[in-house]
Amino acid sequence: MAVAPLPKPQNDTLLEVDNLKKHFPIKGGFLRRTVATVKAVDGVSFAVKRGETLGLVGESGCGKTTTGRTVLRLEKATSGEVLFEGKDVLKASGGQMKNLRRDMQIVFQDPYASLDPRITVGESIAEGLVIHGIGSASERADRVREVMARVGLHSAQANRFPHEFSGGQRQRIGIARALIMNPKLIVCDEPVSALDVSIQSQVLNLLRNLQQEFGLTYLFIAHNLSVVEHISDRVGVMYLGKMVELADSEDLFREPLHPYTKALITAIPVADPTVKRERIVLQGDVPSPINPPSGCRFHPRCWIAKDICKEQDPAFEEKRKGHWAACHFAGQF
Amino acid sequence: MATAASPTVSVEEGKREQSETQWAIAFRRFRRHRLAMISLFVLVIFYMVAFLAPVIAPFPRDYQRVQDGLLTPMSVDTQGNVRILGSDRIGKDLFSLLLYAARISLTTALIVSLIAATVGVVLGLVAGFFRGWVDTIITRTAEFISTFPDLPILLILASILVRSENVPVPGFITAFVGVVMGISERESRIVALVILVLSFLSWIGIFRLMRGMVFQVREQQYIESSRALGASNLRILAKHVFPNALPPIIVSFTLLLNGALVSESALSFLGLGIQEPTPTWGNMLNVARSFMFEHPWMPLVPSLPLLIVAIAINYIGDGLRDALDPRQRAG
Repeated sequence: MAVAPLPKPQNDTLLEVDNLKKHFPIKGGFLRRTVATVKAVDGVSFAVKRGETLGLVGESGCGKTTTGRTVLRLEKATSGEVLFEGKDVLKASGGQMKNLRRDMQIVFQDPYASLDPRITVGESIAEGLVIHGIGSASERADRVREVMARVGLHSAQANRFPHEFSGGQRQRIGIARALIMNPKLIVCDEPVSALDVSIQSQVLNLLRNLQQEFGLTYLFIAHNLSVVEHISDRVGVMYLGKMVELADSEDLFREPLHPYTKALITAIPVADPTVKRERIVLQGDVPSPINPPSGCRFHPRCWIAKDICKEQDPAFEEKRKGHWAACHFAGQF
Repeated sequence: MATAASPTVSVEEGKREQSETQWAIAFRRFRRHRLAMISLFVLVIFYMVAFLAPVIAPFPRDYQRVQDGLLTPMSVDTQGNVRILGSDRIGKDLFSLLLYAARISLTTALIVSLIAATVGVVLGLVAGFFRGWVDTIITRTAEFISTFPDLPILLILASILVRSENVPVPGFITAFVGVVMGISERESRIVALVILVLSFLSWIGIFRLMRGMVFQVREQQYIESSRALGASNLRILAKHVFPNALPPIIVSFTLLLNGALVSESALSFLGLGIQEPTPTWGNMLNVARSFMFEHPWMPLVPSLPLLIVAIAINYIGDGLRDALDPRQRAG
């Protein structure tokens, strides 16, 4: 399989991911041998510039969450390279990793599961400071109050427990947990998927405000295209463990080059019943990542696929300036 | 939660908002469980009486007078003393004996449960958290021990260890047991061995439960969230895994306490546990067995308190389960 070439970062790159792979072995039988592997992430490359938001979209099971987790080394990568400010994350020692974690944080999808129910939210928010031995107890308390105010929580609520908060408030707590470390990068793993629509926009606006204020860089993982369009500077589209298209948000939504992206975009509902749209409905299901299709992984569902697509895996290359796609017939539909 | 989330208290007013911990909420629910509260009261009384035995008991522990043998309850002996619960064949005062025995039986059960729970919890945490070969070794050992039927292995171990004079027991252990139970070093050696044998067979239930809970808790996202902040394994275990895995362990501890109490009594009843002159409820029952047809009140003397304590512990367990199980919030 051809190694995907790395999109060259133009300027100040914060995070560089090169040919990242994460394969989960499936053990079976009496001897617990590996009988198959799930190729959750199978050669993904991208770069995130300082201060930007890179959106990562795709269907459930396409590997976008695994990509985020592997970048933070919450999941052990099978192969590939992750460079954060030039430092190799995947090879960092225990101590180096601990230092790196100060700069790389994550906000989880489920605000109900990601907070320890037996710890007050104040303690929860301060945990990062405690782990890294930052400040005295009173300094930490001050900092917690400051951060809580910043994410829109009342600091008097610091002694309460997670079950006393609503979903949106909990997600703010999750953001505060990450924010208190003064990170450079925050991986947002579907941070609004579990929230009500009305709360979603509040949390998205908060994330955007924090980004401007603290110069944060986001790797924003989501399956909701409207959300991603709203918040991202650039967007990467994943399908079955691979990146199929990566471009500036505007470019991508205006003129997608990959048929899969095209299909996704036509599926975005428009709040106007009079608008007649040509919707591309994909046939079939996402194939199993245990045994992906030959050639281009999208070919069994692609309406412009030709014979070459069954045999040859298209390279992920720059079709136009800053617009990358992995398709033999990019934009020809 | 009702108090904490009361909508009438605005955030602005609550300058020093302090809400209940989950433990406080559980405690509040426990207090509403009437039977459990009564049982707790009964149990505390039993333990207090047991420890105050030397003060309350009308006769010294080893007092005996053959002329006053087999007196019925509330009768007056040759010395003019009232025997509240009667006397046994050699004229020991059963009421006094019962109090001294309570101290031995109840503390033995408590110590066995504490040891077994500690061992079970620690091994469960280690096996569940680190998994792999550590888990395999501990779990297989636990399974190996639990394949033996309980009573026979108890009898065999007890007859080998407790009867033998040359099993070494560290001095500080016999000293500790002696002080807690108010018995001589020679007697406490045997008690310590019984405790050891019972503990060895009792930790497996708690261990299994803890391991299962740790498996469940360690997959929670808040564990990963702490790891993302850079938390060490030790911190995650102590700060997040242990507190979240604990509630069912507390409930199960009451079962353990009950089991230990009954096992010790059974062992002593069969003459293989704690032996005379150290009195326990079990060996009092053993003595009474020979006279149960002529003097049916004699076996009742130790067995009624045993029954009451066992029931009380069960109700406390019920109350704890209701208080700690979040799925039964409705109550």
